[in-house]
Amino acid sequence: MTPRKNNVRAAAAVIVSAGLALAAACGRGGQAAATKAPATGPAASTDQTPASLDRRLALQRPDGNTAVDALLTSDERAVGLEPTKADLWVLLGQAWVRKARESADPGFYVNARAAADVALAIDPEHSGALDLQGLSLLNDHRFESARSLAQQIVDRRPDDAAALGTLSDALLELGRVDEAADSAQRMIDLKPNLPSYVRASYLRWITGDVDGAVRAARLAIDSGSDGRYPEPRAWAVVQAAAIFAHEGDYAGAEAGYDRALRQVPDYPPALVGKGRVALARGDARAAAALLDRAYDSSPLAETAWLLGDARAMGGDDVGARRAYDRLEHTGRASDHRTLALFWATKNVHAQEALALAEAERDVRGDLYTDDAYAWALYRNGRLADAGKAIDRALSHHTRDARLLYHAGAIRCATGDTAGGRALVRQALALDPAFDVTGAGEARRLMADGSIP
Amino acid sequence: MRLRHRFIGASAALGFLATVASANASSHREAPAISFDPAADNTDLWAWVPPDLSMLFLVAAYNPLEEPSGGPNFNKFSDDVLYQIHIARGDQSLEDAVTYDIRFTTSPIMRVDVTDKTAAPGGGKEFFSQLSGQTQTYSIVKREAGMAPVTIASGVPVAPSNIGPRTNVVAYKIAANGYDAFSQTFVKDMGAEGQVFAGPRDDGFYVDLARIFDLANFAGSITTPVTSAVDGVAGFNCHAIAMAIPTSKLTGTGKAPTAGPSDAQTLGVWASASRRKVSILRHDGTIDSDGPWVQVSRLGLPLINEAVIGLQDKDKYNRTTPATDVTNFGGYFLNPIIVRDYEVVAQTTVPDSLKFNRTDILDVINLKDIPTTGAHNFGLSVTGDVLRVDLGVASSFPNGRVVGHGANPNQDQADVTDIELSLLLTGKTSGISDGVNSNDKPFLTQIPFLASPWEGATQGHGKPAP
Amino acid sequence: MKLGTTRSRARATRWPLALALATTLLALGTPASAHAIGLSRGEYVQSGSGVAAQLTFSRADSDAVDDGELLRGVVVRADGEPCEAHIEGRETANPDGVVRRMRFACPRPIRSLALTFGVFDDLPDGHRHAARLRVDGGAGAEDVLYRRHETVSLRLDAPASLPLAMLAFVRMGIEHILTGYDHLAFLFALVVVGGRKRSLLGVVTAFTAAHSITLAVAALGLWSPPARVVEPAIALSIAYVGVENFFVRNGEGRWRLTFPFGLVHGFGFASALRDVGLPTGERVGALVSFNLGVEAGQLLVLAAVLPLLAWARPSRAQVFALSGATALVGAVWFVARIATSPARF
Repeated sequence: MTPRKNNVRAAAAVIVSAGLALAAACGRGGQAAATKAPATGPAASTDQTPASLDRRLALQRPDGNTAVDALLTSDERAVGLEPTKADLWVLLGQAWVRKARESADPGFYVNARAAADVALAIDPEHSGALDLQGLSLLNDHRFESARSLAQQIVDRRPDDAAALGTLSDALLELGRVDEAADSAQRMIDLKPNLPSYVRASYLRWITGDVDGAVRAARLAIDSGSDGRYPEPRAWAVVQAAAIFAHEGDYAGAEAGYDRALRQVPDYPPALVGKGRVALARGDARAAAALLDRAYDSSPLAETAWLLGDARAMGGDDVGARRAYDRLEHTGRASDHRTLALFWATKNVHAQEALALAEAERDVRGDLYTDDAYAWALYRNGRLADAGKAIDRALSHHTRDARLLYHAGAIRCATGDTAGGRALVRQALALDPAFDVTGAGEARRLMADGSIP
Repeated sequence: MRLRHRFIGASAALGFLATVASANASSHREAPAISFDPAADNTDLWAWVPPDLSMLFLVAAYNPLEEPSGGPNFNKFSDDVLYQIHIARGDQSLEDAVTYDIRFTTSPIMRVDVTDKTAAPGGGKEFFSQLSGQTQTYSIVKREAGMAPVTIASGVPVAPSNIGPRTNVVAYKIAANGYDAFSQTFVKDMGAEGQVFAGPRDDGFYVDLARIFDLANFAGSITTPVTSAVDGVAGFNCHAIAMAIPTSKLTGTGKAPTAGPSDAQTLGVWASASRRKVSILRHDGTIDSDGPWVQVSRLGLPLINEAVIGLQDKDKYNRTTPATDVTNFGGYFLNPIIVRDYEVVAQTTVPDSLKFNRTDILDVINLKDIPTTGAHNFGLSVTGDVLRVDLGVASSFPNGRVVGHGANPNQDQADVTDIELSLLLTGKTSGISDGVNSNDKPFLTQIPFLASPWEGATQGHGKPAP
Repeated sequence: MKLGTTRSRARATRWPLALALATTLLALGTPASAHAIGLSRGEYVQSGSGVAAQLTFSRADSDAVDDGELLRGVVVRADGEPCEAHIEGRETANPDGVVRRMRFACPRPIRSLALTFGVFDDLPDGHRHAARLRVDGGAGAEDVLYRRHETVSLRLDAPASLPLAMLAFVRMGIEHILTGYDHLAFLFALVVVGGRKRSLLGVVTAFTAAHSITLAVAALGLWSPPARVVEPAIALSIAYVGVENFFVRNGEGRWRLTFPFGLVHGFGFASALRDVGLPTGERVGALVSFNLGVEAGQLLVLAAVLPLLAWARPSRAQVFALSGATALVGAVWFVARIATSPARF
């Protein structure tokens, strides 16, 4: 063995050592690599960018086997075949809106919005996609944003009926009733159909035109005869039934709610309406059963309130407390106005109720926000401000017993007993069971003049 | 912004308020934004003259994909809709020369005491609407340019729904299997103005609906033979208005048409549905029924709104009239989107000549060189979505569109789906087929031409076939 | 519209800009997928001994769920067994989002990994949670969860492909030995002195048998000494063999020494396997597979090193030098491990 050869061999040994050292250096990375999964499963896309998430949401597999689920499946297939066509994404988004409405789960607006975003990435001025965005903003109660967007769409396309509808809805929530009516009028002039008739009906009702509201509701119902897509008609029927209920015609209202339930089984708004009628008639058990069903599929604060009232009426105080807890929970998370009105109505947490109502006024300014605000002010003893607020709420002559009672009680408290009692009497004549708490107070006020 | 469940005190409220302005919520109060209105939805239109040129036969269908077993409140024409058939004439204008306004009226249900169990059926407390004694009738007003409107029919009963054998016996007082003959009795003779029928019928269109909505992804495509095509409207009904009008009433001269092609004797036919707009804030107490009509649907040539007009313009299409089609939608006709869709979906290459400046489509619509070379020469100003019918020539699509035309127990007609798609996608009038080539029920040889409606009790979807 | 007529013309000309602005604000500024109200995102990544989760909410939604609700409501299950949840932190994400970090400690799953996002009752109605559940570098599942659909599962394999899963543990064993430099250093020190094939075989067999025993004892949860004892002991074993190399001429009879040291190394392997997480369902199979992998890796290294040594035939001085270096490294590790104990470095 020559020394030289030895050196070579030694070098080789050193290289082996170096190899070991290298392995040592890689040790840390190697640990991680060693955790590779022994897994087989759906392929993971590594992309979690907003654009990819939008597609994922838009293409979410529907969870049922109703007509709208079949429609979603077919729309998703169409989009898959031709993903660069904005129209198809818009149709998919519209199907998601339908899904949200039929399932009473507003979360599907997220999917609709995502589909609209994909469409807008393809065609930034697609009016159908912008309309979907407007709907999504309305659903999020971002009324000023919805108004602004809808206004821009309408400025660009004055004949976009859907945008006019969104504009009208947003303006109404912002308390701009006359402008809301103008937009709805433009909408109905372009396209007399269920969406425009129901808006006409509601605007007529809140402006005190009950006969006109019923007539427009009939036209709405007549124009929604699609058996495959019954939800809009059921909605119109419920709206019409609510008009009857506000007029104290509980039998008429119930017939309407039943009709809506035949069209869309377990339709939550109809269950709530029917529960309200049962409550008005003093049938606590039936009311609780109906409202329970409604709350199960659509956990709204208002439903929990009525459910609590129904249980309390039936003597189930523990159950009532549970329902009110749900109301407060849901109200805090997503419905401040209802919570404010609830607290003010039950005469608890007056300060918080007022704070909530004041905050809600930053978001919207319609007459029901004014009413909640007025009643919260009243419970805090701010009678002058309460009077102004309830006058605003009643400035359109809406025939709603709750508003009339609030106005009457506030008048009585400020010393205008005659005027106040007249309003309270009117409220009780119109809808003697408008609200368990309010109607009770109203009767006591009429009986012995006790101001709540 | 969220407060704890157990939040009660005012101190916690302060934290609450800091972020309360970003309230997010849904109260489900949102009114519907999208809705379909089948009672005011044109589904189809046929218009043709037979070889003897004596009559113009017209069938306007509404209420698509009507489910036969749709009780207890069966589909019907709407009393709140104005149904119209528009007829333009000659090469000067697409404005109506003759218009038929059809309005429906449903008798009110009698209000009786629902607790009175002794009252005879027909009082209105019945669950089954066919026993309620409620009937629907219609009137037709004919309007001719320069003349006073004439009511040519009124109080004509609408053929009732084909509900089932028991209804036939109990409510209609006919034999259990007597519906077909019974419905024929609803053909109304209007004397010199012809005949009319209105009521439910089998939907005479046949198309592989599932696949056409799948972007014309036909089982047969261009070359592959068809094995799995499905007639998407099979077994469904529609509501149809059928008329037989003496051609002498439509030539404008009061005389029978002269045989042979001519622009002057060629009609442009289309049908529409309108609803009333209303004044929302009626501070003056005006009454709704006086509100003006707004057109919400129309149809001339088949599949135009479905296959040619883009999504963003469908409302506009339904609102406007054929006279403004070139201005409003010329681009869609000349550069049909469906061709580009087809290119993507079928992963094929379509020459630019089929994608852009398709004057050949306008030529077909205007019957240029149809039926013979040199026949017809309508200008762009009178081009629109109308069904052209030359009164001097026995009809054959695209000159008119005939219900029932061939052998195969009278189930064939010009397959407009195939013809239109072939025209759009290949520039020829054949070559592409949806694979559905005949109707599911034999057509009739007389008014109302469309077959008797499917029976609800036994032929509804999801029910066993008889 | 009262304002409409006067404003519309002016607006029409500015329309493209206005629309672009609105669209940018609405579509891009807060796309459905950014920190939109009503939509949260969750990344759940399984690695090592648990699942690391990153949940991104809009601020309003984040405020609706506190840590306690997250701990109670968000559940990760490995092979059906719930993992222990921990809150790791919360930070702001621009412009209006909040990231909540969680960790779920549990053994490595073999059949399934599942996430249940059970806090929908605390969030505004209609909340959506876009969840992505995946094994680091491996399979993943994504789904959009909501009130009536709270769970996304990742099926790691069907029983039919169990051998495949075991194969993965074999591979893990190989990787572990190949990257477990301390074990390699020990092996290297043992064989660098040379000797007959038979004696080498004895040395390696003794090491293998010994570490298999302790690996099983520890991995099956019978008994395991704390890492702060094992890890320095392993380092010491390396140093010891390096030093001993100065006094032995070859590997004859050395297996007697490597057996007890092998026992120590086995505990080391076990802790590595514990880091990875032994699947709850298939403990024994996975253990055997892992061990087979370790042996295979070991043989792989020897198959490379031994011919090289045989060919290079290092001189006595060179063997001393290499052994000295190894001993030094072992000593350094020993000191470091004592100092940083119990953590491995």
